[in-house]
Amino acid sequence: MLAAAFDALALVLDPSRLVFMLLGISVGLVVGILPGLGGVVGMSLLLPFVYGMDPHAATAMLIGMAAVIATADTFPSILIGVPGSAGSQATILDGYPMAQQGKAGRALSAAFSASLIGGLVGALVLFAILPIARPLVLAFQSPHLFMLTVLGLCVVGLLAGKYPFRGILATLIGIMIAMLGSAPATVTFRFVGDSIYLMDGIPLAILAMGLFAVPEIIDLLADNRAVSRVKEVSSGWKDGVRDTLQNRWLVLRSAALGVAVGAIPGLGGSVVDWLSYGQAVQSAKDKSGFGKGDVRGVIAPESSNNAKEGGSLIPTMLFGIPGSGTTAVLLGGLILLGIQPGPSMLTSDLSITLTIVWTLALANVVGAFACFLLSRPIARLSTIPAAKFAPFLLIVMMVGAYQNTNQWGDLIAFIVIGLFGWLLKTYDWPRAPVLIGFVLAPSIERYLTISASRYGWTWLTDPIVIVIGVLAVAVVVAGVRAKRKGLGES
Amino acid sequence: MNNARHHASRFARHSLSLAVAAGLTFGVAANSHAELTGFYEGETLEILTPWAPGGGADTWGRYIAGTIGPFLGDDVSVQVVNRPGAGGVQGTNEFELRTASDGMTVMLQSAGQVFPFMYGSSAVRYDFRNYEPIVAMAQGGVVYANAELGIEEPHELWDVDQLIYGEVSPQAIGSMTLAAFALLDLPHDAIFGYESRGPARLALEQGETNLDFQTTSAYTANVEPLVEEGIAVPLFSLGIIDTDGELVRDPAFPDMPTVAEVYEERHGEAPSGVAWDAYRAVLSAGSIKMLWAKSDAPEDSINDLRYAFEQARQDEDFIADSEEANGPYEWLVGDDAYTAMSATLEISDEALDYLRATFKERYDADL
Repeated sequence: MLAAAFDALALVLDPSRLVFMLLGISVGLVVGILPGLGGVVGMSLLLPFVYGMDPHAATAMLIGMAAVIATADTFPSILIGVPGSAGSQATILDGYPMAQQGKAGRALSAAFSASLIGGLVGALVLFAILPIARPLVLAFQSPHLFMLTVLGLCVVGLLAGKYPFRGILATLIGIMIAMLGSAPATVTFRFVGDSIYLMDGIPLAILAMGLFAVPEIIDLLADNRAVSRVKEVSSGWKDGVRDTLQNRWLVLRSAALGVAVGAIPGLGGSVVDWLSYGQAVQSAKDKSGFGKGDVRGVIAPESSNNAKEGGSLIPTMLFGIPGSGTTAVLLGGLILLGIQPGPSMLTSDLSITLTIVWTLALANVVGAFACFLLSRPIARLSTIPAAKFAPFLLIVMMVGAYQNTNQWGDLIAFIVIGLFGWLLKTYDWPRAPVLIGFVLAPSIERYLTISASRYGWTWLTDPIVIVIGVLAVAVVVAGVRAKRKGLGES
Repeated sequence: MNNARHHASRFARHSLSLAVAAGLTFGVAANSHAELTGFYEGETLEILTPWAPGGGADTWGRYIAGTIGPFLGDDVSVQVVNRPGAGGVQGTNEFELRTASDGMTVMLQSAGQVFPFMYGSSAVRYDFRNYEPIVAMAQGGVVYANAELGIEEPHELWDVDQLIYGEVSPQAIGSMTLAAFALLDLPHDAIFGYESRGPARLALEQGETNLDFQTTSAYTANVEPLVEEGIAVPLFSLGIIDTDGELVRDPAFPDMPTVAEVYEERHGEAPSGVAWDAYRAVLSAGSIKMLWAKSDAPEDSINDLRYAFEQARQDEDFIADSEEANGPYEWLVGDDAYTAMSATLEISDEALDYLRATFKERYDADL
């Protein structure tokens, strides 16, 4: 396999193919930076060119695009508190306060270096684990997946801010919003009325932007100030890299988490940044700085959301099952190239698989360095008064929102959710739990339905189910206790 | 379904073709594509695809976009335009209500819009019978079992204690299999809720289920290796509807019996009656992908589209590429396409009632 790996490297580095990889990376950077646009849009932009292309060049282009989104989407998250794509929301929690304190440079460089390492770990794990991953993926049956989503929901307890009760309520609101649209396992539509738009439910990207971006812009406009409260953006580039290296174990742990969550089909990589943030808080000795600009709150999610891409390719390539919207389009692209993902990815199509691994690694390196280069000029954005850039940003976000389904409903949903998000922010209700509840609700419902109709009550006695259940309870208890302590001090 | 109405519209279609054939010297009847008029030269044809990029139907549309251009004339570009929403209903409504009849847009049909149409969903604003059929392809699939059941032939299915079949929802493409089970009167438990057919296949590998269905491409790539390893056992194919509207063996699996053959083996006679009509309706709804044009689009555009596919299906290179990408399935042009789809489009009220009653009784599902 090593010899084959070097043959594939030669294939990828062939100038005629390298051009396409760089093209893919450029598209990925732009799509990542623009709020509201994510991997699906990037894939859709590139897909029309794929048919008839050399399979290695085309694969490199598509993967190059997907690999760097999680690096580039950090810019808006940190600089203006607006998620660049659905996978970079948790970065806002500490990255944005850092930008407000004039430490945007340090936050960005910590984020990019963590992204770089996370992405490389993802590619490495993908390479190492592919030959043996089949039984690992098959080990998770519906009851286990149900318990894992419950565990994911429990992490909310750690993110709920000062009021755990509000956190629970916010999670339930998120689950309620997810109930809009078609119900799994049936042909029923819930709370849709006569609206065809609502049949698909609210798109994730719109909910994310509405909750996090709109409130931020409203408040900035109201104060008519710049994001950064200090005039000059301190360089701090070296400090950021040093932060990442000092927290190397956190980087690696977050990367491992990212790969694992990405690899389990049906768990949904869109919450991996929150899970990773949760474990960073959980494992930190001094939790007081989180939410106020602790660099560890930037490093953890950024490392894991790049690593996630490597993980989510495992079920895509081995089983032909996409783990996310992005990999779903990638799957279509591979089929257009005449590659039907499945066990053949390890035999007759091995060179394509290795191309994907190499591209993932190279694109993460190239993407991180491109972001470093871009970051000096882009970081100045945080010193521009809101009145000057907010209109532009609002238009970009409206266009991004409208990309979801191209219906008027997108814009209405964006505005309604934006106002709702502003209310939450104003009254100090946590917004992350809304999002997590929303993302995990379909999986929870799906796997509970399957578990109950397949196993009755017996699945509750499954040892793995019990172990994950105990873990979930422990996470909640630890979260609540930590919060009590924090309150006692203040 | 309004029988009188669709018979009328079908009649109108034919009489229109006759009138056109009689009236024009070169005879642009539905199936005589005399020559290319050059309608699309230098133009861009859009294939309106009512799903997000990436799925099976989208990929089929993109295959057409990448290959049919040269057959339509010089300098013709063909693009896929994705209009996702409501499982395909949204984009198709848009085709009905908002797309201009200038011949520059054709609509891609697949299971997603057809089931809501067939079952009379209130969200549906379109009626395929009012459109002009351009080209269709029926792609089949295989029902297979986990080898641990210890069976090798379809007739042994009735000896198994508990058959567990994993499904997405009662209106997903896997409902073709459910209709086959109804026709065969096969006792089974159906577990609904899998996200798509991929996770349903995983469930069979895990032993969570023991009976599954996969479309040809997924079966070839992901189940055949399991068969070789002795993990899965193929049972029967769903069959393919040919140009006469008959069910025949799937050209991708010529050695595998069809549902009809399994029925015949058990009952000693070929299937017939309302369950058979219902099965064929669900089968064509779930297995056929098709391009439709608006009926008031310029005649030259419809002629050129059919002519192009007629030429393409006789082109060796095109067919060789198509077999690689789509499996060994035929391109059905014009009225042949309509005939293949007719079991769905002209389903009788009795067959619909039978489907509703059966799905209600077996799965407590309201179609």
